[in-house]
Amino acid sequence: MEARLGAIMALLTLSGCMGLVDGPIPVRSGSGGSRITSGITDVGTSSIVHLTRMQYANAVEAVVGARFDAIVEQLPADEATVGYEIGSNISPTLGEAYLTAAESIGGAIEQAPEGVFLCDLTAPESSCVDAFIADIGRRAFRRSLEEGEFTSLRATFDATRGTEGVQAAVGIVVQMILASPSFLYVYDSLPDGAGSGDVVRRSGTEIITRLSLSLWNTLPDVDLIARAESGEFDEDAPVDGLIDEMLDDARAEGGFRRFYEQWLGITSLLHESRDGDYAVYPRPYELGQDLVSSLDAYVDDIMWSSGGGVRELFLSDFVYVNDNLAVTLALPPVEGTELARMDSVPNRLGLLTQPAFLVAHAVQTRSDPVRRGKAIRERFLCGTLPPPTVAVNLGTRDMTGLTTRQILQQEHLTEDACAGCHRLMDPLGFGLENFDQLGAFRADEQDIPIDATGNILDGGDAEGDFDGYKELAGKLADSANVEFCVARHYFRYEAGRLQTAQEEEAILNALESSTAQGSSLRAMVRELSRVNSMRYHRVE
Amino acid sequence: MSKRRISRRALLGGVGAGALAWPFLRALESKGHAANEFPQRFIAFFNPNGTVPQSWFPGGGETDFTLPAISAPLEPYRNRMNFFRGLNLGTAGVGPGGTHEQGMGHALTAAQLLPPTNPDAGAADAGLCTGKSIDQVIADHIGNESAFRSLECGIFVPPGYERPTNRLIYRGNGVALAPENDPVRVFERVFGDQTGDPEAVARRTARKQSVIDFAKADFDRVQKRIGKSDQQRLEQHKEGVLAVEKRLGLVGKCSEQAAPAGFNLNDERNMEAVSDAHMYFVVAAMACDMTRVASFQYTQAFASQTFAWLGLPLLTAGMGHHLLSHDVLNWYPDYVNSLVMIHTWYTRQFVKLLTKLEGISEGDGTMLDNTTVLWVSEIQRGTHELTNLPWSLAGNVGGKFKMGRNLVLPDRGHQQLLLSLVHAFGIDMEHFGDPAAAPGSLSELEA
Repeated sequence: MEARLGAIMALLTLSGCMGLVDGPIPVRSGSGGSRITSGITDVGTSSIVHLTRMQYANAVEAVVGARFDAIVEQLPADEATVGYEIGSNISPTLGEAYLTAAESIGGAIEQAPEGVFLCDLTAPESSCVDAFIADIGRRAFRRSLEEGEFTSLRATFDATRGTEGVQAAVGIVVQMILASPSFLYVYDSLPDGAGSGDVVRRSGTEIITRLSLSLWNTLPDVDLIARAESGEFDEDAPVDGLIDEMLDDARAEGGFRRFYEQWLGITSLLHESRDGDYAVYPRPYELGQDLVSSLDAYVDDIMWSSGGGVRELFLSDFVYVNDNLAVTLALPPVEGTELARMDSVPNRLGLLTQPAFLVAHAVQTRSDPVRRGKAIRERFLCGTLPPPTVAVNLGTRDMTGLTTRQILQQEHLTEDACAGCHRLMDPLGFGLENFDQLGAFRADEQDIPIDATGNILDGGDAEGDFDGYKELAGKLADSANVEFCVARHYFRYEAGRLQTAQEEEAILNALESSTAQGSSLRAMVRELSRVNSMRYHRVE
Repeated sequence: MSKRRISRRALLGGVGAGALAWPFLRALESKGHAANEFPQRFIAFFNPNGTVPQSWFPGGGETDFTLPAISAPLEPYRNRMNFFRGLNLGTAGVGPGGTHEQGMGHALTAAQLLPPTNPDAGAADAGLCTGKSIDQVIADHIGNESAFRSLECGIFVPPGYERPTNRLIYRGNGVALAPENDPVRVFERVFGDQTGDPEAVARRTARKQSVIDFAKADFDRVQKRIGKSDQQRLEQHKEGVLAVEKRLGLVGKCSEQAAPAGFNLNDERNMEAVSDAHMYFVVAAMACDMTRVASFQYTQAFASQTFAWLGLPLLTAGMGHHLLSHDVLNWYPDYVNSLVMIHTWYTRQFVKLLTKLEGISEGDGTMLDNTTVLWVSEIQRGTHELTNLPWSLAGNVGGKFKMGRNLVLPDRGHQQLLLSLVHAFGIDMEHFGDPAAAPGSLSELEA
């Protein structure tokens, strides 16, 4: 205990938050900041959501300065039926799991409280404890604590300090804060008199919370919260400026990454088959990590370094590889585990041939043009598929010696019951048949030369026949329909729900503005962060 | 007070954690109930990807049936079971979702799935289920007096997002109860509050109460600011917090126990050990009347475990259960025995559960006499039929069903079986699940 407190005292000089100790303690009374508006129509309804697991992990770090990923992994999985993880699945199990997680984290903080202390909490006078409670509460709740909240936290702190010591007192305060709905949920507070259908402008703190979660993948910091509480973001123009500021911040890399890893459907590479030394599976966990990092580096390069847009995503000819990936992909050898950019890579072009995309949309044992085709349709063409056939029994057929394509053509494209749907997926996936399930290039399968011809049906301006991945990539890169689809995906990510018809208009307008700025990915994100839906909502 | 006799081996079978066993068993022995005062329990058991029909369905007549390879391990319990032929998913094709999705979501709810919120989603995609699952309906009736209304155990349920293919248990419309994969966490949840010296336990309880009090005040604060629908959504969370609060006072029902060793939940070779541990704790919790309702969900629809550790011949290295079930039936019949081995393993786990229940005496009988176990899968087999489901029932449902039968049913829907079951638990319902599905109960079951 003594040694520990020594460490706490040492922090006194390191903490940048010391000013809080002497300054006024922000405690607010009353609620609000949100207001009913008129004249804004292109916004939908938002439901209350909990922080997703990844947001929760990052938020805890923002509040107590340490990561607790192993504890976070024990929380129930998020929902993702909109295509992006959202905290819409609120259940008793979740409520209990949050209590347990708060207890585990509070306990860990009690054992090792470095980082959360602002000053000497052992001193009997109140200013330091007050500052600690006010600061941690404000970070967690994205607003200053209310009088009543502050008082009960302080009372519990004092009672616990008296019986169990100061570290336990810190632990219990952390536990209480992390188990509170004000920390766990993102919601819209309704101003007095708001009724169903009214359009409400969110309060400044609500707006910065939404923008931080989408652009930074974490909670707003204390400076932003203070600016919001001062009323800075009560009007729209300063919010526009804030978006540019946030995109210039290093945290924006994490936010955009969270979007595109889900958009491209590669997060499963980090979840599936984490079977350690049990090497029966040709997709070990480490390879999954390398694949995801390689794709991250590819997209980040285009977004943050070269300033490219959707077109460049499809048509760039570089890949990031390390020793393992170079071997897996049969590329010239590379030394070391660090990823390095390899330019003008033969037999590879753009996003579609990024190894992570090819592997994530294959199955363990084969290339799977169905999954790859489905991914292209859902993620780039935004096309709907007809309703499914309930049960199809094809009977037993001899498929020995056939290529994946030949098997699928027999199975899916000759039977009427299957072809209705599969003609919208399989012929897209055929374009990537030059790549096996681990993403390596191949010229033949079963000693039969690869046939990579296919066609895009129901694809708007992307429609038509193609031969191979290069022509397929070219069609997608040239298509305005595809760019619109990407923008809609980003909207779903930031809003955590589908766009309404009116919001679809807003997305188109945002895209137009981004085109005027050169169609870069950054301009697209900027404009899509400025849509009314991020600042306003319609009461359910 | 009657003294209980417990078959120690039955309870422990396979857990291999001797340290946690003995104090617990002493507790059970000293906690008798008067005869006939034992609670009724309900357990749901799920395995994915159906079965291999020719190796599962019994041959012969209603009582003189024979059990082929997959069902053969059930021979010792044949008189305590009912097998069905001709039991269909009575709600198949109703609402969104493909066969795996509907089979999984409808199985215990007989209610349709929500539409997919993503319009670009694949044709088979759907949202979560709209109805309450039977275990929860029963739990609402019999589970409110025990510390845990129900326990949801998962055995290698993959950690992916919540979707209709990985959720079996529902509290209501769109509200799934996620299974807990880690038996150690089940242990901590059920017995953890009772371990340690009394002072530490009291301190922990006091802390939890402060946290819950603060959260409750915050619930009130937030609820005042948000709209009605959001209030209802948030109520689900609050319900979980209140359940924890209610349990704070229930310390000491079971005796002190040592925590079990942890398991590597990423290595599928541990499937059986994890399953054993879950069963141990659930049966222990039921014996102490900490809960009366539980479920065991093995992986999920589309499960991709390889089961290579069973030593089965694999079509391709790393091929998982779901692909195998497709490919064997469609293309490679020579490998059907691999699939039989997988499904026989599931039967053996089911037998272990029955054996554990049988190992605890209650009055003149055993816990199995006071427990109903419903075994389900989401489809019939790898070609996705939602008819002739390979479901079965064990226990005796309070003596209300005639057991030991191989029932050939004339095209009956699973919602009728679910209705019979809730009736057996004394719940007054006219229809279970989708009101448009065929009405009535499964009269063939009744004694």
